[in-house]
Amino acid sequence: MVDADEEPPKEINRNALKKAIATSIYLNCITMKNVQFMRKIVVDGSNTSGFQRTAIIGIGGKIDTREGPVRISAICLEEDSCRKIEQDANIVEYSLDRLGIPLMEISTEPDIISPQHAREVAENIGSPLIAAGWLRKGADSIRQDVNFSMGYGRVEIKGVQKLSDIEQCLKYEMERQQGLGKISAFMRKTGIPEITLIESGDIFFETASNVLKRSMKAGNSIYISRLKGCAGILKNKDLRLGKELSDIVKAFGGGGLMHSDELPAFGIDDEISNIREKLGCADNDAFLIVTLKPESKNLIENELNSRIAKVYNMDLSETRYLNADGSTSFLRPLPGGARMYPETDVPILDIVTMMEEAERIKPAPLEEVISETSSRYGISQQDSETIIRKGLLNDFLSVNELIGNGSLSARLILHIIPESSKASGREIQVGDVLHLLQVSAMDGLDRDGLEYAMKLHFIDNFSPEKAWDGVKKSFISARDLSSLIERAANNPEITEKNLIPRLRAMTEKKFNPAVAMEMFRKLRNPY
Amino acid sequence: MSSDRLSEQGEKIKFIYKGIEMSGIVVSHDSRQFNIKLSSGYNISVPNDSIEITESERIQVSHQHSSPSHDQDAEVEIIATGGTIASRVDYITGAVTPVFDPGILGENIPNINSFRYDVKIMDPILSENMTPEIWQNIGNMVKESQMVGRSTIILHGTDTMAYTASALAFMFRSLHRPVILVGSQRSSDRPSTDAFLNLEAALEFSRINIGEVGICMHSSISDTSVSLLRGVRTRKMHSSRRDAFRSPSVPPMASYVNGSSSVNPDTTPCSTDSLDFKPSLEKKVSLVYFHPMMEPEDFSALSEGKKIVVIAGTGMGHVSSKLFEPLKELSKEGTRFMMTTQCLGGRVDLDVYSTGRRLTELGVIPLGDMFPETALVKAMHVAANYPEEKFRETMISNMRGEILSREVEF
Repeated sequence: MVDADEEPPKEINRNALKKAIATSIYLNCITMKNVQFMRKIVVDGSNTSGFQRTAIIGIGGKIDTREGPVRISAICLEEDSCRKIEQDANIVEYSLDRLGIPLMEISTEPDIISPQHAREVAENIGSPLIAAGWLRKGADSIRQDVNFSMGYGRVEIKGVQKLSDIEQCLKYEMERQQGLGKISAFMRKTGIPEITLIESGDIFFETASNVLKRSMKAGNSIYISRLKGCAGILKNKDLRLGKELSDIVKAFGGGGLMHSDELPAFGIDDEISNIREKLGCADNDAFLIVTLKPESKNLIENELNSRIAKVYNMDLSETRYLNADGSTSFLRPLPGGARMYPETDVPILDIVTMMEEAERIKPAPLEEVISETSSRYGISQQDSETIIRKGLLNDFLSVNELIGNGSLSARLILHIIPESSKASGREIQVGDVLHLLQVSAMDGLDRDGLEYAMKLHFIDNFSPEKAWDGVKKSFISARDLSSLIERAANNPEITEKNLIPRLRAMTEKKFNPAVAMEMFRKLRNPY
Repeated sequence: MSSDRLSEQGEKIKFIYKGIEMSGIVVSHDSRQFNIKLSSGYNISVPNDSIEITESERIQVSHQHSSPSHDQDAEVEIIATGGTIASRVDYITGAVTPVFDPGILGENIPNINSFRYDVKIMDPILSENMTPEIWQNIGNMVKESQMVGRSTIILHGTDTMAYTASALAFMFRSLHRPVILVGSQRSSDRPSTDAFLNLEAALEFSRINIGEVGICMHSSISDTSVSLLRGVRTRKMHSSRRDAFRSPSVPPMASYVNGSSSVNPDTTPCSTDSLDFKPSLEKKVSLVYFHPMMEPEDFSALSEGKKIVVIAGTGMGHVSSKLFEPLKELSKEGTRFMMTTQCLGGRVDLDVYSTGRRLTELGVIPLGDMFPETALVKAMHVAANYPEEKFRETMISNMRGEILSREVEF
């Protein structure tokens, strides 16, 4: 009922509020005396009610970094929105499992000077919160909205989940804007081209292009347009006007866009001369092929022309999202303050009384978190630092929760997963590994068994269950190994020197000699 | 240091709060604190003595008490009484603007331009503050618009909408044009608002041939369908859902689904007869909700000095035998008692159980399946407009569809 905005919200989650206040204290903010929730209107479907509740908890903080202090503008406590699962031309599918979960939004002033610096700031802010155990497990429990500006307006990039993506997406965005700057300069010389979409008529009646055939089957019609004087700026090294336009077609529900700089390709070849003829293209003119539903023709045509004007004027401010390949795409215009309404269903809350309690649970600074993690989980200071600096703490804790072995968890996160990724030729997600570990029937799982299971599952494509069956067949279980060594220790003929060959004679299954030796020594010399 | 002079609501200010420079607009200000809308859109509340205002500028606010549109040839009279539907708060300046500001209407109600309407604005009244005097005022306005052949759309708070609808229904023996009460469960600043679709549907319903008083509200929680429900048979059944209004056992008089309306033939068509407007209401009335803890003195306290007491009894219309004595005493003094049921469906029957028969002996009038709220309003109307000897007969006869001869389904 609350999620459909059919009844007023319940009382604010005090625990979340306390943590937000503690974060405000931790980040040296001025914590507000009152908390006043707002309704931020969000109509992209990610909030079932059409708005997101949000309140400022603290303002004006700072965090120290190697490049000097970075100012924190505000800490807000919000209700999280839905996760996008799939997007079709006209349908977006969302998962509701994240909706309404307390979310802290921490925003910084434009003090960050480089992509590497951005990453450091994100680490310094996020890791202590992860270490405090305040974040739910899961890939998207920390997300960064990266704001970028190089003088052409503010671009907000959403969907940046991994710290390692920050550098990459900023680099991409910087190159994109530089490229667009060149295109703008080019257009200032040749004039601003206008897109007029006309029906392609019989040009594609017998096309060999599967892309176009599929698109027509889905109910789209094919339109074409000339782009005067634009040959060579649609896709040519760092000049990528084509992608800008293609993103617009997708964002507004069209089928897709192809352009002359990338043709012949996609089974389109013979048609090119017909298109050029029909559009009256000169050699330096480009053309577009756009598939869309006729009813959205005017909308998309307008949006394409607005995009060209945007590039021409180099006012690039908007909200974009990060694609899996590290590029970014248009999402929506930047929101303004006008979409905020006070949440009249929730009284303004005095939080002065919660300050003391919040002070007590304040997260520890990053250095303390590193040494604390090292000592609590029995891993080296260096591993601890790497895990935390790489933003892998949440992954480490998730794994450790399942296998209860700090050093093995660290090894898995820092070595086994990257190595397996390399060997299998695909990026293995911690989520997949967790799935594998969940069905592990091994007691006393050791490094060799784990590595073997990883190989069987990720490289030989065994199901998780089958992979563990394979491990069981080849590796001796911890319990069997210890009873074997007990027998060996009671046998006066067996010494440290002949232990390993004797054990090999006693079982066909694999075991870790170092582990066996250590157990043997312990039994022989308990003191 | 606090500012030398008080910054006013709607003023744009630059200020320093605990060393941080910020800017925003004053939403409200009292002796303790400022409520400021920051330029980011967030509102914050800060104590007066902790902020220093460095700059302030009065901004031009168009207080859009834009002259409500008057149209001599209007086909619809819109009467705004208040409630969630009738107002829209401008959260930047704090100003309240009527929801029927032509700009807002045009943007949100696609069919509005195909109607000629006239607007009357009353001082906004919360639904719970409605009184019989206001019902009479509204009644007079309805009469005026009926006389010139206009339909009436009344914007009303939802809580007591059914009482007002019943009062209007009984005041007019016949209607020349539909009278439609419309409200909203969600204010117009929320994406989930039902205000605009309800109003859009009310406009459509204003042209249909139904000479009755109806309540026009969402029939589902999606923004797709609206029902026109018979006022005297309608209840607010949910405190917050958009489809809160139901008329159990009676199908809607009309429906508006995905932009087209349909009319239930089983309704009273518009009439050309005299309106026979009877606005008088008896105010010495009470509605007593019986419960097991009710003592005779409680019952007396609620009933004393009243001309008419409508009892909402349990089940088929019962109260504890402890109450027989005060009931008898008060009846002797001239109070009339009538029985309705607390159940959300079904009718009272005082013949089935001995308690019922005893109540009949004591002169209690059973009111069939009339809702307690409707019964109260009907009693006010009947007592003030009909001769004493006709009271009982009129109360138990069906005047405006408030009593069903048979229950179809529940």
